[in-house]
Amino acid sequence: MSSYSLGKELTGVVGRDRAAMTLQDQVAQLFVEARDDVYRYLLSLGLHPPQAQEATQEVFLRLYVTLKKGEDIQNPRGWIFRVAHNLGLKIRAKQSTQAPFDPELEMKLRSAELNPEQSLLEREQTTRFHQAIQGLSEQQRRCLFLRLEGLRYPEIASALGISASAVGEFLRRAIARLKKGEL
Amino acid sequence: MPHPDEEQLLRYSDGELPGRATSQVHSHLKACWECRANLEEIEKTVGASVRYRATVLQRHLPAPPAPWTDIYSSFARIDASIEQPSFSERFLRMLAWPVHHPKQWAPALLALLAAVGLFYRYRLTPSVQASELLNKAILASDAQRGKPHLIRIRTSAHTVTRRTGVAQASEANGSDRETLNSLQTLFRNANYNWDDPLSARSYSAWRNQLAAKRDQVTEDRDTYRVRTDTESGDLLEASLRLRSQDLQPIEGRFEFRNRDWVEITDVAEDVEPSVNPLATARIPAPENRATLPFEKDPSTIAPAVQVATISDELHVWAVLHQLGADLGDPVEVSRDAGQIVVSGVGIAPERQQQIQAALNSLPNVVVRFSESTSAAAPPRATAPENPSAGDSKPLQARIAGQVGGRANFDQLAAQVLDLNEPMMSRAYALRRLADRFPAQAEAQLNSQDLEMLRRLQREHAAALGEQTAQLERLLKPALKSVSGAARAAGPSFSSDSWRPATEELFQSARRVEKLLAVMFGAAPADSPDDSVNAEQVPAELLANLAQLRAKVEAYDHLLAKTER
Repeated sequence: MSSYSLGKELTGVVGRDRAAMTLQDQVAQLFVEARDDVYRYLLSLGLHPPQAQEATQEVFLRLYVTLKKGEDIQNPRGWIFRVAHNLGLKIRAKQSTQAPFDPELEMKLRSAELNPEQSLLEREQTTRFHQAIQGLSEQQRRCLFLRLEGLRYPEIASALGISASAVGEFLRRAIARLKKGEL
Repeated sequence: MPHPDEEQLLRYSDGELPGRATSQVHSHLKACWECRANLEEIEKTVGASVRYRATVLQRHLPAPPAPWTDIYSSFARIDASIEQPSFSERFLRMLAWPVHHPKQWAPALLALLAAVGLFYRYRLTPSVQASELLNKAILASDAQRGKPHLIRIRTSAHTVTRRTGVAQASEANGSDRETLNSLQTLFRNANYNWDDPLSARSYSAWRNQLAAKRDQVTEDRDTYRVRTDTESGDLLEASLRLRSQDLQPIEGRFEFRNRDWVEITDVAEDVEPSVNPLATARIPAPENRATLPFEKDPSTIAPAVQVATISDELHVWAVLHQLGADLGDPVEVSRDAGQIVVSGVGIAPERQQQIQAALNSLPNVVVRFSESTSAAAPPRATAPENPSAGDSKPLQARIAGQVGGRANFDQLAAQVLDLNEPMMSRAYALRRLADRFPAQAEAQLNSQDLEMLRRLQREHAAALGEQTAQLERLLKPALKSVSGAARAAGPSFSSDSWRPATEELFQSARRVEKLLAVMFGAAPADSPDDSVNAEQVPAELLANLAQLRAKVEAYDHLLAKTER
């Protein structure tokens, strides 16, 4: 996603009503494009599917409210993931008594039934890579996942509340560990 | 320049290096094979991560449990609520004006304050009176605390006498016990203390927990009467008559949301209730209005003192639904000896823990998980172990030709079976709700609970519809040319009631599942219970999918019509 400025574009010269119309369409379009990514990211944070879905919707509504207030958001996708990340952690913290969502991916990956198109070798490779990902530290994994969603280092940094150079370091370590997992 | 380290290389390829460093690394890479090879390694790992996202995260994480809602309607709600602050800003500005013009506003402000004072005085008086009166009555009753008294309870259908104190239904005989038990449930659901219903303390406790209420206090020759009505909870209106001389409650009347009413009168201790017509002489005749007799569904009345109600069970379902445990998981819910038993076989320990934790806060729930591997899941058509085993089947070969080869066919089969599983789990979930909430039980739900039940049903139906539509989208291009003209979708339901409709919906989904199994080689086409021959399968399948989708729509409509 290119980094363009939604807020400026919309609340600039255009009339108020038309701006509101366009704003809705723009956020709705972004919602359609990115909701599944946000939803999956929230699952990876340990939210259960119904909560993750609800939180996803909430994130886009917050984007709408923020833009409507006339705030300027440089990269909506980065903004969305930052808000999703924080909201997701808040939801997780509230229900610390409940076990986090665990999709049991590894079992699924090994299952020939679900991956009939993969050869045994490919399945083993995928499983090994998955295990390598599981072996990453939490921060490494979060940096990697957010980078995979197209966020730049400063955006990841602001989502996780760390510095951009720390993001570079986490990503380097993540890549180094995954490289071993690939072999 | 020395060799850039790995982090610099990564930053370089991510475009995160400052401009000068970028060009330095760039020219170094031109010169250095070693660093170029390192960079290539990094890119390979990046590529593997991207593939991981696509093949593992996107494909194997569970899809959203419900269809996405229409976000435009939420926008509209937000727009409406955003208007308000600007209104209050205007209001504040208006208020700020007098500060600069004190002479003009001072008398107006005084008048306003007086008006507000009067308003509050009149508005609050009954409720102040009511709580004062109740507090005095509580103090008065404290003098004889612990002394049980005899009360007579009258409903539209029964009259029972019992002693106050911890509810002892066990003392009563058969039919009285049933009545007492159902009354206990009624009062308990309304947050009204059933142990001592005719007391200022219980009345006051109920009244204090109401969010919004209206009070009325009236005075007769020798009694006070406190009356409270509310919109929250199951008990809509209650009144308590207190004797003026000692503030002892002598009569209470309770009207419930489900239109049941209960009258309780104090029976003098020294007189046997059945031979004392005087004790009830002061009770006004019940108003002549429509009342419903109590439901006497034996399944809701169990000998235990704490009786799990159908409403309790509904809440259990809602919690399971929240966890997605009403889908796929072999979790069963039943009611036994006044308790709700949630049982499951062969569920992973973490999942067990999760379910247990979520159900902890609910009353009267027992969770029993066992390890046995003989899963209690409903029978389903099994997915093909190996779809490519059926190469000889002409139907599949034709479809394979249509979709561009065996590999594509296998992929299609995998996608279809991936969708079939959640689709059927929705159909089973709907059927279970229909089984667990027969008409009789549903009649006992209050309107909030009924709404909850409808929400569960609607969510399942919506997901079922979505999955059906996805199956259609997936299969239509592949089957269009191998099936003849598709039949038009059949009529919707044969009945106007949602229970038989649920069964029809379920059967319709089963039919689709069976046809899918035949088509993708998991079941033989000529199995005895299947009248369809292989040639007709594609056309049948498309027709049945269309029919299922139409049925889901009709079902949703039907549910909407059954709202109270």
